[in-house]
Amino acid sequence: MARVDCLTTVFVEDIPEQLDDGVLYVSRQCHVALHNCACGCGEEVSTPLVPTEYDLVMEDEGASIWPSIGNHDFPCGSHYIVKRGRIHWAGKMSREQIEAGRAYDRLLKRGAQPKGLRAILAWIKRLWIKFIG
Amino acid sequence: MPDVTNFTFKLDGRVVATNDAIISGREVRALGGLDPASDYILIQIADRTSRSIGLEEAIDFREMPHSEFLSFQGDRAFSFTVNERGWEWGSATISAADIYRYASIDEDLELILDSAGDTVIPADGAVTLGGQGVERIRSREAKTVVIKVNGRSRTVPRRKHSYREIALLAYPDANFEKFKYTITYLKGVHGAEGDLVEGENIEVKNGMVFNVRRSDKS
Ligand SMILES: [Zn+2]
Repeated sequence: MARVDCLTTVFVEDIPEQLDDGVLYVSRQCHVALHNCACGCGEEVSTPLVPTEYDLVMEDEGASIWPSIGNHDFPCGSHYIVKRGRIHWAGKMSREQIEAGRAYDRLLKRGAQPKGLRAILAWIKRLWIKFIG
Repeated sequence: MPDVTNFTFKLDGRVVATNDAIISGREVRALGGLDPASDYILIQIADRTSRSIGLEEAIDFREMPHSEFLSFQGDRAFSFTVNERGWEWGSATISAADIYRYASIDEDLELILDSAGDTVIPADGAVTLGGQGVERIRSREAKTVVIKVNGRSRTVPRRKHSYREIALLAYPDANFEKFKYTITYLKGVHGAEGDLVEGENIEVKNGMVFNVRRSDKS
């Protein structure tokens, strides 16, 4: 199995039992997207599309998923961002860093925050983007 | 005012109007554009029952306002029962979806075919009515429900399920010492949604959505 650098998005109602490499299966009904790890290791990656987990935005070029995919618990330890259907490889992160990113995202989704907090969050986000490149 | 339309009925989902209080089965067919009338079986849906309406049979809309009819091309009506009430149908098969709909059966119940030793009729299945004897269909509290786990259908017993049981449905080789499983759920009992964590149990219902993401325990 080979590493892939892009994911083709397929919308389905039910996710197939066996996934093809290089395909991002999205079920809006089930609020989930699944794909095989982009490194080619064969591990299945689940990205639940609920406010506390992942966001998926569909654009002409392909799907973008936020936050990053951190398969640090797989033997491959892959870490990447899916942006407009392309895989942007990132450095290895610790679980704390990934969960911090997700926690930040969760905070954002709670909606309007006081000005001071918003400024702090924006600062964290700049750091975060800088960090994962 | 003489020319006022007083009565409406539904035929195959369409609303048809007439100003006659009493019309024949033949006239119902003609008003619905079913020509020649004798080529069609007309079924009237009533309160959790249905019956075949003959060509010369009179229908009194004063007694049965908002009547609903279905038409079938053919010359034979098929009899069966749903929860002990008599039914007639214009085709040799009836879909489970039509039984749920016209018999007003709650979607959480399952349909059983008596004659086949209490076989469950799948919600997307059908019953053949053309065989020997009258088919007897019943509804009962389902013993299993179909839930979605990471976008895949899984049939599970109707009871409370634990965090570990749900994680195992997503990852049959789940390792609870090594990994943490983040479980979110939607469309639960009374619209419940949230997170399921270690030590918790949750009631499941048909169509409930679970999503499981694995991460390491460090
Ligand atoms: Zn991998």
